[in-house]
Amino acid sequence: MSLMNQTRRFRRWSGVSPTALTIVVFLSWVPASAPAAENGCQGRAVVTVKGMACPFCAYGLRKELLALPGVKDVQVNLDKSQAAIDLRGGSGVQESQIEQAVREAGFTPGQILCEASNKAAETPAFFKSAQFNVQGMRCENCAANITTALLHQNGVQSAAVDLGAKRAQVSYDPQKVSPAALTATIDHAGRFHATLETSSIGAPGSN
Amino acid sequence: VHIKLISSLGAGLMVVFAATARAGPLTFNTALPVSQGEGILRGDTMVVRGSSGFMDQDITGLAFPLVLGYGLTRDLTLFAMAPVFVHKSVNVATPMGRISRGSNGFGDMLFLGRYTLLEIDHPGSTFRVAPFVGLQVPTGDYHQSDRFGALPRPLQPGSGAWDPNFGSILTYQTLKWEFDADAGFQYNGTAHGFGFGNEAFTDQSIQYRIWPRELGAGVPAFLYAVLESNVIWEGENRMNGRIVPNTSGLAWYLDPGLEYVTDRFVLGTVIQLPVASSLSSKGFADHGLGNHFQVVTVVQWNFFTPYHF
Repeated sequence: MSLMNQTRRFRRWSGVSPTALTIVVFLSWVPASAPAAENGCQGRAVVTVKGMACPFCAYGLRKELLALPGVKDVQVNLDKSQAAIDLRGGSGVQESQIEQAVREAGFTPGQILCEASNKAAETPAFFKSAQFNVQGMRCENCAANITTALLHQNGVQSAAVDLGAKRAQVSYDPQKVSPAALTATIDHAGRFHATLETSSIGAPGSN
Repeated sequence: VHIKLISSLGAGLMVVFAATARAGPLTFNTALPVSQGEGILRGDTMVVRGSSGFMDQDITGLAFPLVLGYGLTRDLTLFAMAPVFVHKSVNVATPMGRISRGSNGFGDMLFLGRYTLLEIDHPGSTFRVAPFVGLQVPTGDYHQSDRFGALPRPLQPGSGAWDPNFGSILTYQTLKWEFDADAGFQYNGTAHGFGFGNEAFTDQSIQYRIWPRELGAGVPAFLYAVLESNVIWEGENRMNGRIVPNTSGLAWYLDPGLEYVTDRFVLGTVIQLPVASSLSSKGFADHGLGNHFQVVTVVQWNFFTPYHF
């Protein structure tokens, strides 16, 4: 039987064009990749891990977090009981996924802070954005340390540090933290000197 | 791995007992977690040397147990312990002169499940309680003989019996120090007319971080000073349904040592020193139980399995 005859018989039997069916099957086969907008944290997330108190325990935690989709690297800081999760560009991870990974490692998840978040779009009007000039940054580690310090400051919603531009952009709740306190936080994250450039209402980048 | 040597009836009895995993105590288990899907492989070397006034005996024990731990869930960890090589020998004075008797072989395997029942976590500290149940299975040979005939059962690598055990472990760990304690009981079954006495035990361990004094960023390696205590009671052996006299005893050991812990491996060693012992409840005194020492060295490796069940 020729291919043409098979196609005609299939159309008569099902009422559906085989070509259309092929497209539907193909589309349903393509693995679902969650759009970034559906993911909570992007860029870098820092999770507090309760119950982790020895080097041997850190290995399992790191492996569980590395197994999350989109995770590029994980740095565990035992002293601070934290794990910093670096995400691939365009990838994101839900806070619930991070919490689940910490639990599977045998620990209790604490606060999760996101460097960037799709929640920024939902930033309440009372959040303010501040931009700082930061002197003294020499490497990516400096930028990472400042980001982590800012994210741990009570009242900070998100923080992004640009090493090349020597700038830090912070979205914060003015009821809980002031630009002066943010300046001090950056200064104390290392041998840095921060000065406030701009402060306005809205999420980072919206001013 | 918990190893015990009790001199009874002029022969050495060495029981390789409980599996362990994770940084923590070197002579017994800990309640610290094994991540879901994580595996831990531990290899031990145990050397026991001792002597006793009873028949002027010298006792030697050597064991290489391997322990595999696997985190089935975040709370349930399974352990399998295989004493891949066990050597026991005793050298005693007789009217005909000194004679040596001993055996080599694979010992009795132990399978153990540990469940985290209570967990209180804070940044930099954890408190956990984890009961365990286990079964020692008769995989070791217990029919070895030498030129004098069949070896006494305490000298055989295996017991020949099925021995269930249970207990509980408590751990409190901070970044600076750790305390572990356990208590448990093992019912020793009978095989071919002979049964070892049942055992009860309690152990404590304190580990204090001596290096680095200040923690930096990341996951630095720790060097711990370790002091452990093991108290072991053993009931009387049974032969053909009758109690074998003078085979029960109580022994207490203190074990100073060092432990080096990184995120991938653990190296540790302790020397187990007798503090006090009694045989057949005659009071704490040296009756041959106590005058031996034991060295335990530990190499432990952390790996992650691709299998999550």
